[in-house]
Amino acid sequence: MTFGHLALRGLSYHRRTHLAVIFGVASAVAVLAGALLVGTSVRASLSGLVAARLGHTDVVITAEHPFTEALTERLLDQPGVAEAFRGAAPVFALEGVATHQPSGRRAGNVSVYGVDRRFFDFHGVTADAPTGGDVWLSPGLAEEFGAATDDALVVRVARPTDIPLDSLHGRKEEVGRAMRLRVLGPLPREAMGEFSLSPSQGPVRAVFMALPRLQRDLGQTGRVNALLLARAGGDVDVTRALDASLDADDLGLRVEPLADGSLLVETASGLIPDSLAAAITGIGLRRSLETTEVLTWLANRMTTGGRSVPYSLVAGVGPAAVGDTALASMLEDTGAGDPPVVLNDWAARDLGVSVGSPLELEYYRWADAGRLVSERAAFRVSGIVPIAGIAADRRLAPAYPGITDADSLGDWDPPFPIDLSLVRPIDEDYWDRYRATAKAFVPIAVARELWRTRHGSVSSLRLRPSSPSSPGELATEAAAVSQAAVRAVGSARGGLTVVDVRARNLGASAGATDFGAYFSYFSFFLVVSALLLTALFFRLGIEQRLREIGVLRATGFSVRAIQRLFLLEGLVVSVTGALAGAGLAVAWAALMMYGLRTWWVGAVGTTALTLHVDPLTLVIGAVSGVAASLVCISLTVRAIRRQSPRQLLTGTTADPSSSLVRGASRRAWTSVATGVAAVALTTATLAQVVPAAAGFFGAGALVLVSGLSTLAWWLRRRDAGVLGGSGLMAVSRFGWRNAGWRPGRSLTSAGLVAVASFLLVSVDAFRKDTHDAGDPRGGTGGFSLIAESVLPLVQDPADLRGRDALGLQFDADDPLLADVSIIGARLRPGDDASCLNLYQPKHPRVLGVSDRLIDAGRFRFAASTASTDAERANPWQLLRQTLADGVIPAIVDATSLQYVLHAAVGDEMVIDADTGRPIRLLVVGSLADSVLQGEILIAESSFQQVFPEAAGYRVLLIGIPAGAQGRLDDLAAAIEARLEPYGVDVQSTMRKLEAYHRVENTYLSTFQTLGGLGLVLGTIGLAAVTARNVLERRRELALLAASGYRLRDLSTLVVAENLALVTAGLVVGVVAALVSIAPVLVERGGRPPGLSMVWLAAVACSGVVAALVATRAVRRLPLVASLRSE
Amino acid sequence: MLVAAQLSKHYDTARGPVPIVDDLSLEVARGESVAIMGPSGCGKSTLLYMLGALERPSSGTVTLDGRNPYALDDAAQSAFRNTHVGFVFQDHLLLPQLSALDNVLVPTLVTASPRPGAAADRARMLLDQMGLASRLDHRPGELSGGERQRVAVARALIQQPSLLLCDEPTGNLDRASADAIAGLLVSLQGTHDTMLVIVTHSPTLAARFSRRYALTDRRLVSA
Repeated sequence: MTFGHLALRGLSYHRRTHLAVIFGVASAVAVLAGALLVGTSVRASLSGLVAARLGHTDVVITAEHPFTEALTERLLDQPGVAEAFRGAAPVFALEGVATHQPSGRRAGNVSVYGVDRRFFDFHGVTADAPTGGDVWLSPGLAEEFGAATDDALVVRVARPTDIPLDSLHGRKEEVGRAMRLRVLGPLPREAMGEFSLSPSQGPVRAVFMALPRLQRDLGQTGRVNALLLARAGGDVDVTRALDASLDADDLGLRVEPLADGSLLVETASGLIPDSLAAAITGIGLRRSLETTEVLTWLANRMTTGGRSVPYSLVAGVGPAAVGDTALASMLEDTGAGDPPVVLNDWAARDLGVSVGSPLELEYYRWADAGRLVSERAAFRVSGIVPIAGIAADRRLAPAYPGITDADSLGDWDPPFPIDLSLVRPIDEDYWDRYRATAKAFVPIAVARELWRTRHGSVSSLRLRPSSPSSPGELATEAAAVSQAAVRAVGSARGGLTVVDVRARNLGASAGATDFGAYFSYFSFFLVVSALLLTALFFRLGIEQRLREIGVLRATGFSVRAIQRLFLLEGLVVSVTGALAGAGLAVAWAALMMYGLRTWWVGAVGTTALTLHVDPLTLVIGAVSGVAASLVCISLTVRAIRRQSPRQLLTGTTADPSSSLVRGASRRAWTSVATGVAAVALTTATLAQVVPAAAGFFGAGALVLVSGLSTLAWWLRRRDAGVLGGSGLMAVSRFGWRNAGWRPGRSLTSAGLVAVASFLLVSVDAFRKDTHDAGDPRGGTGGFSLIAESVLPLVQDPADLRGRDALGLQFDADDPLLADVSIIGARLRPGDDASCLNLYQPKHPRVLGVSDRLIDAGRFRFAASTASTDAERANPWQLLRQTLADGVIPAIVDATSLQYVLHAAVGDEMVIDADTGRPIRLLVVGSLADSVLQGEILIAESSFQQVFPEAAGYRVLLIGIPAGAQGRLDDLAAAIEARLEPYGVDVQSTMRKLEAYHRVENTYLSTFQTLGGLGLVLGTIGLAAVTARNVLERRRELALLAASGYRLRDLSTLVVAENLALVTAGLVVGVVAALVSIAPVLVERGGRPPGLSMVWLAAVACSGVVAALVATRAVRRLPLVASLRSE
Repeated sequence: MLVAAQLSKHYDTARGPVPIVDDLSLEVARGESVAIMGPSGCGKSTLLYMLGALERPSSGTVTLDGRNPYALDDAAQSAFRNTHVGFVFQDHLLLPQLSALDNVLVPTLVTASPRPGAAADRARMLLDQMGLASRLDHRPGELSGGERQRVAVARALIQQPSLLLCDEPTGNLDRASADAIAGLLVSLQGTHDTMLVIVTHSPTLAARFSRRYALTDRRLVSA
């Protein structure tokens, strides 16, 4: 016989008890490993979804402005690129809105891909590339539309424009392009029907149309805006290769030799960004080229002394004046009076002015706020020049469609209002002879001051060699400048971005939410219950073997040796339980995944989550379970030390009554002290000294401690009065008195119920309801509707003229929309930053909020960095802060900030980190439970700085007058109809908020459900304790039977004791919970939390079940045998 | 009058029935006290439990004052035991969570009391008679072995039973305590006019009772 043999025999002989312990360990491991498996499965499912939707795409090059398809070949020709990538496919990828003609159904935020054969070959799938007007639909969109082959589909997309929409010459009425297409059918998933570059767990809404057709309709023949690349395994710096393969055309840059011996540098946008202008000036300097900056603008009127000339181009020219020293000297600003203007002799003659005459220019400007403004500027005529040389140069004006290409002034079709009645015959004559030749010249500095835009302050540059060059030399110089300019700009500044989209999306699939951690938290009660059960069963096993321990002690075993023996048994039992638990974990995780796809689908928004069994996760869960079980078992085994060998030999533990006196007064004092503290904290909270949520929750917790201390005192009290009376009540009272027999066990049982009830009910405090949409300080900001457009609204919808332009007249003539207020916000599309998105938002949506919204001070803040009274009164003002190092102040919804972005107020975040233009944000505030959970909010001015390419407004916050809630649907429909060309989707802010709440509430339900299951497991423990109590007290019960107690009386005795403990636990837990959720209860008009009631009923049922088990134990007791001394 | 006629008891085991008592008869009149002796395991306790309506005999009858408790249903049998029989065991079997007074009152909880407080008054009186007037509120853990057994005796007498059955009542006590308990039982039996049956393997204790039997070969033999 060895030590091991002894342990083995013990294991074998007490196998029934050990089976119970194995059950406990297996439960703990199953739940723990199962929870971790859920996390692994969610991550694996999301990764799988990303991989399936990307196809062979590893890297994508996207561009703000379409680039030439030929770039693909040039890129692949770069050293190492062909080896590093096994394929490339140029595509057009746009956002759009699709309308299914037969059903009239409309879908916004549809990905519109222009693809050809190369796309399908790239992905290695066999599908017919769409041709002509044919279009494939993603399976999800086809299902949503109920689309059939040959159905008509109208797709509207944003039209890429060279000229920025939010500039004077941008065509604001032509922001989109509608195309009528013929549905081929759903493109199967395996044929890349769910192709998507953005990680999202929801169904893909996409259409795949013929690339040539899309290019043609967008006026972008030969151009694309995205290039997909598939890695072959080699390593190459794609950005560097891209920079090396770009040409001027890709960047919309043009360097042209002119007949006057100078080089003209222009961009397709009509404006050269300041950084590019500076780079080209530098290039000119290095190549000994004299640079003249030119900014040409249209003056609606040049007026002096009652005479005026309509619609004249005015050129702001730099000091060099393209080598025209006379003009240069005339434009020198002496600083005396109004700035100088030089007129050509035609204009001077027409206006009848001479040098020194005043002149006023009236012109349009497109304000950044999204409206056309007419302004005036006063000048002093400083010179008159003949229409010759630079003054006769038509190329000082960039090509403006609708103006410079018109045959006559009468044919002008600019994107702003003009009054053709002002045009005189002599103006037409001038146009016939000189076309867009400038009539006036002003210094470039003045021109910049008047007409600078965020897209640039120079319309062209002129580079003039220091000595005359031959046409060939000039052409060579032009090519050299062009190449140098392209290199200087590079892909990043040129709006091209290289994204390792596979790495980014797979990284994002780690998830905004760690479901493994969440389910571990949610399963906390379940795991604790299982471990308690393990400890309890093991303890009961040890208590059964007290005599055995006593004998071992009597025969010379040390306490340590006995502990080792039991730990050895515990280890074997735990490992066995863990092995069984690992198997059960797979089943448990499968059940949880099923739950996520069904019961809790509100939390994940997808049914595409499947179980992925990761052996390592199982091992981690099993080892954790074994470790936790061993800790519980070793704590139990330690109790042996406290028993004397004599006690052990009699088979009894320490006399429970010995603890009756001990600590009674301490518990009474604890009870009183915590009760007083709870009252004090409640008072402080009501007096708003302590934050409501923390105060009430703290008070509730104190009530819980106080209640349990009171119970502990009650169980140990001595002055319980004399037993008396007879019948059911007398026996029941006797039963309640018996609860004090093992006060520790009784308190554990009641405490478990109390804590479970407290948590299950108090967690309802975090359950969110959607309140009145009209409250400006509420989650909707007082806005009843929120709209998002696919195409930008260039006019400010908050401005009356902007509304008129958009067809949203909100006046008395239009009663439906009367008194409706709209505040627009700019949008950089991206990943949803709300809890609706399971992926980590690497490229989050950003909203640029206008001054109107900032000044309105709407919404409620959860936290902010406000330091002044004004900032505290309206933390939105923090967005106007100017921070060092280009950091931009931002506001984020508190829930998104904490749970999705995993940051806090005061933290600095970097978004678009994997692009060439990372953006640093400082979180200056967080909104409490707002409808703006999906985006990061920055000031409009900051937005325009960091996203100059994002034109117009795309998000509208719409407020309606009080009492108009009844016509909300009509209003939404009306706004959608009027803004139909922009693909606007209007939804109720309440419904949007409810969708967010549904996610959070589903998490709470999950917690409550798993916590409730933990309680059910706890019930098994409670039943075991009760049964054990009955067993231990069998002689006492037998004596009662001998004294004339019927079985019914004995059952009543046990049930009364059990129910007393459960009821006490419930009362303490619920009272504590009600205190903790008092503010929420008041807010809800006293309505009790629904799901909690179900769980409380479950708790009560648990008590009854435990009592029934005990009753059954009583009925099975061999009472007579129990009476015998042994 | 307690009448046990032709009592037999055997236990069924896997190896066949094991006889404990065979064709045993006994009569005890009011005021009589009987001691039954025998070695451990001879069936003394089984006989006592059969007499006290706790263990149904395999055959034979038991009547107490003309009533056969085994002819009653469970509820009536329990009520019969409650009001007609008092037990004292070797192990006092007091409830540790209750005071001495409460322990004595336990049997009264399942029968209707003639008036509120009557049971408590009687319990105090009994404990007073036992010399425990100053120990009413003490719990078993705070009493000596002899005191505990005296509380057990008081509990057995609280319902004024006609039959007092004692199973080795002094088995766990030292000599002095055992003597005191024995004296108490004899004295109380006289005072309360009960029939007293005591089983013991102590000849000294048995000697204090009017009739003595030995349980030998499953039958009673006068000793």
